[in-house]
Amino acid sequence: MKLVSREPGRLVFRLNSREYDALRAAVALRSHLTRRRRPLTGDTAVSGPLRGAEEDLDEALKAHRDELTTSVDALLSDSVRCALQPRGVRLLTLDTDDANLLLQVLNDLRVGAWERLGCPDFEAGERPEVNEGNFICLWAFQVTELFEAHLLDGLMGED
Amino acid sequence: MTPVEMPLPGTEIRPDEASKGVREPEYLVVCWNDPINAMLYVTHVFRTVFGWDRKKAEKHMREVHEQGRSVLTREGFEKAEFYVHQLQKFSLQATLEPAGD
Repeated sequence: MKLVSREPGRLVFRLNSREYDALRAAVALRSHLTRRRRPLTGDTAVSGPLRGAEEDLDEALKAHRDELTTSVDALLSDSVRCALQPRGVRLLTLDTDDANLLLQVLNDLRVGAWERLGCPDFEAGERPEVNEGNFICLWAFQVTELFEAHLLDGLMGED
Repeated sequence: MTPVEMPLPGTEIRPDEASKGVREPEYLVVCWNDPINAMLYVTHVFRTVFGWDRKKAEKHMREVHEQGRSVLTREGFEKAEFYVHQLQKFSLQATLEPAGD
């Protein structure tokens, strides 16, 4: 994945066919790698407006997740925003909203995969052992991290 | 007939004077450290959600990373809730707590 063009509010990335397939395969794992959320207050003894707010947050996140799934599938299938070029290359054209949408989906996946791996602390040197049960999560974790890095490079480089 | 008390000429009755000094409770929006979200990502999320410049976003990101948490803003309940929702949509560990004044 390579940033080929950056203008205010518009990024264009070039993905080869393998990268595009990997991106779509990762996104397709979303329903299997849902992440947990932190309680709104971190306090188990909530009452009154805060209890209702926890339920509101659950509903809002679920609705947002469904919306993201629909939107990112549409983005990656869009013949204009994800234009097919010769030899299977894709030109992915993102405005800021699209870029943030894709970023959210990828990070969501990454966090979900990390939780399924048992929340290893990579900074502390923890490395999960690869086995039949977790290799998909490891793959998803690594692949989403790579795509995220490219997106952030494009977004943050606008400064 | 009972006389009705009328305000003296030149004075006003201010409806808000009865509620003067009564403020809506405020809440702190807090972001917590975690071993999964990259620093660059956290900085970007702060800029996107709050509209901060890079310097301010990085300051709060460093607080999260070095101190375990950062108080991002202090708001009334609805706005605090809105911000927590936005941050959690980006998978950040965000909570709200009473400001405790």
